[in-house]
Amino acid sequence: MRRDETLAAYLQRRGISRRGFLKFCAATASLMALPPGMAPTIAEALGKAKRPSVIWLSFQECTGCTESLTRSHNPTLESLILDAISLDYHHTLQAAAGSAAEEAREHAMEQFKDQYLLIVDGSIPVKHNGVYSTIAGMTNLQMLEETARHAAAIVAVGTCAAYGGIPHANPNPTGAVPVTEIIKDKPIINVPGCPPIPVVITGVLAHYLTFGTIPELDDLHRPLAFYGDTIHDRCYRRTFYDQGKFAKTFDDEGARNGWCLYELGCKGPTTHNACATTKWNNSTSFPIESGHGCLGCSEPDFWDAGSFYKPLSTSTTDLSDWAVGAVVAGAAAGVAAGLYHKVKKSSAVSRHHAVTVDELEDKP
Amino acid sequence: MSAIELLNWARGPALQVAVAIFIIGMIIRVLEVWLLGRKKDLSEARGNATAAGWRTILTRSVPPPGMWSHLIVGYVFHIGFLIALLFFVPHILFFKDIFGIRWPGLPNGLIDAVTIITLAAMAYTLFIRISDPVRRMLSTFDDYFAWLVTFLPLLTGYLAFHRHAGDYTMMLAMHIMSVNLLLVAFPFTKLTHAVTLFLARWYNGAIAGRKGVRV
Amino acid sequence: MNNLSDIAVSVEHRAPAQVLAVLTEIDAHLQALADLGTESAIDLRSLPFFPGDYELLKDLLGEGELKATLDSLGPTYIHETRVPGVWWVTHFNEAEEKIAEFIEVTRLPALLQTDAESLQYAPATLAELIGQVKGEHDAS
Repeated sequence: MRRDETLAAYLQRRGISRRGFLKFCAATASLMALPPGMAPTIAEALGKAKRPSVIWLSFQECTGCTESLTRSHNPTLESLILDAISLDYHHTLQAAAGSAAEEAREHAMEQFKDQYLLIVDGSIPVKHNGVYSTIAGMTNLQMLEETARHAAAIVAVGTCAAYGGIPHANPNPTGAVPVTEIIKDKPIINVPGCPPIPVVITGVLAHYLTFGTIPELDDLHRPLAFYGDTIHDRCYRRTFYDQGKFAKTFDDEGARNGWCLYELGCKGPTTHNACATTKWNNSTSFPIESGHGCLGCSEPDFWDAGSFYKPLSTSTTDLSDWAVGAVVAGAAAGVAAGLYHKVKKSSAVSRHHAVTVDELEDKP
Repeated sequence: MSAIELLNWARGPALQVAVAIFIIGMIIRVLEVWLLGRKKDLSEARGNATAAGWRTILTRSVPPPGMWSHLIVGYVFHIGFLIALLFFVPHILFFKDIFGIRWPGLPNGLIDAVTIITLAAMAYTLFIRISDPVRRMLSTFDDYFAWLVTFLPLLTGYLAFHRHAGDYTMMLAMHIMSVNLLLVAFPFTKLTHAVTLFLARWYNGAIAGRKGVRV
Repeated sequence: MNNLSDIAVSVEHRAPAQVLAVLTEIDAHLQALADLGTESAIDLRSLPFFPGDYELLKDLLGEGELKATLDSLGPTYIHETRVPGVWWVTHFNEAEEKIAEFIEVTRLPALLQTDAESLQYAPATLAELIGQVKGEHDAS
């Protein structure tokens, strides 16, 4: 696709008819969780949008996010979107390797200065000057700072890039941090999830491609279109929660009847994501529908938020051990305090003496 | 700090420390007093001290004539507070996690109604305390503070459940923080009456009963 | 040997509130269409359906007398439901995966109409075909 042609012209050149284009716009609106009535607006925007350069940096990650993205609907919509962007640098997907790859990155950064979109997955280790993850002799920290300098915007894909993720979990030996902790002067969109729902990743990219702007974000930099509601807000098992019908084990009668999974540790009430409506695997299902509680994987520090199988109303720590310790300590301290007061009392009693008239008269 | 990070901290280390202070504090308070002992009564017993002690716990639970209105509101908010604490299913799960036992809960709608009534009763007690000149004169910081740390968990719990005050995560964090505050304040305020009141009533009754006073 | 089908799973009987909600929304849209000519669409992706709700809704609305298939970027199936003015549109990609689904309340979905731009090229396309026929005739 030529760099200076609009996305609409590109689609037409690909032989996609007007009806096909309308279908594309309708499906894209749905993908971006926009109301169907927005399809004409998208059509108009695509008529003006140009094809941006995209650099994808992978840091301390498991590649699950890239896997998620490439598993999203096969051809057509996603491939059109991915075709529509110029993915100039991506470790897993690119053909080039070694110095040729680095040259491609530097060339894109120079040619599309201040215009390219930077996508990051994986956390950035900063301990000991960031030696725990390096590419082509550069630490991730250096590469991020260098590449972010002239990026138009940054998309932090996955919980690792957005919040530090699993490397950031206690005790965080590499000093892993999210993108927002390093880059402070660029617009950053966080697309968390472990991994994020594929169509959410594509939806965010589609928004940027179509409108050239950052979608509306919440206080954790997540697009409200996908992260505005909690799982609990849109869960189809909500009626059971309201009626107090809970599954107590994974194969009791309640579980078989599809009752609420609160008692089995579901973190739905405090987790913002689109799983309950958009679902996974091409709208097949999502954890709760498959009978397992939500892990809260699109929230910061979900690895350190206590057991996945203990309900939200319990402590994230083991309180019973702590309580027993406190009882013992309290008993010891209480006995000590009691004895101290007893000693104080008896010494005061022993210091009693009969007051003489002279002592009374001597008193000032 | 985001809402979820505050919630994790509130449910985690903050709750641990609060529970520890509560347990250690309460045990110290009780042992401190109990181990101090009492001066031995050398006179001959003219009545049964033990029976009088137990009886007094009951008789002092009923107020003298003229104080009935005070009692009803007091009982309403104490019982309401205990119902909301002990029979709301998520709370039962909290206790099950610590003690390993569970008991049946009450329907959410009922807990809701009880909470509203309790909040209203508590608001009334504060109103009486402030508007009555004698009570106002007698009230100290401890009185108002104890009222506040008891009121806040009820209020924040209600708001969180109904998602009235915006983000659920933040409201839940506030609720747990208010409980942490209550736990920490407990041993240092008059809230210790929750335990000491039974000791106090028993001893008062026993002392009087031994002297032969009819209780 | 135990089979997956031996696991007793039952969907608890409950009122299909979600289905009723959608039908109520469709009713409101039909009213708007009749009174003001406003066209509307409901994105089925955004609705949290209980297992069985989607099938119930689809069966309930059923199929009317008109069905159409669009072949562009994969198939798209459009049919008017039992309720006039209520259309069911399902978009698939070339790998036959569903990419979007809408209930449209309109007199005619936009996809069924010939658009103005394509119409501009129609005379030229036809002229080419006429040329082909004439050429064959002249040749014979």
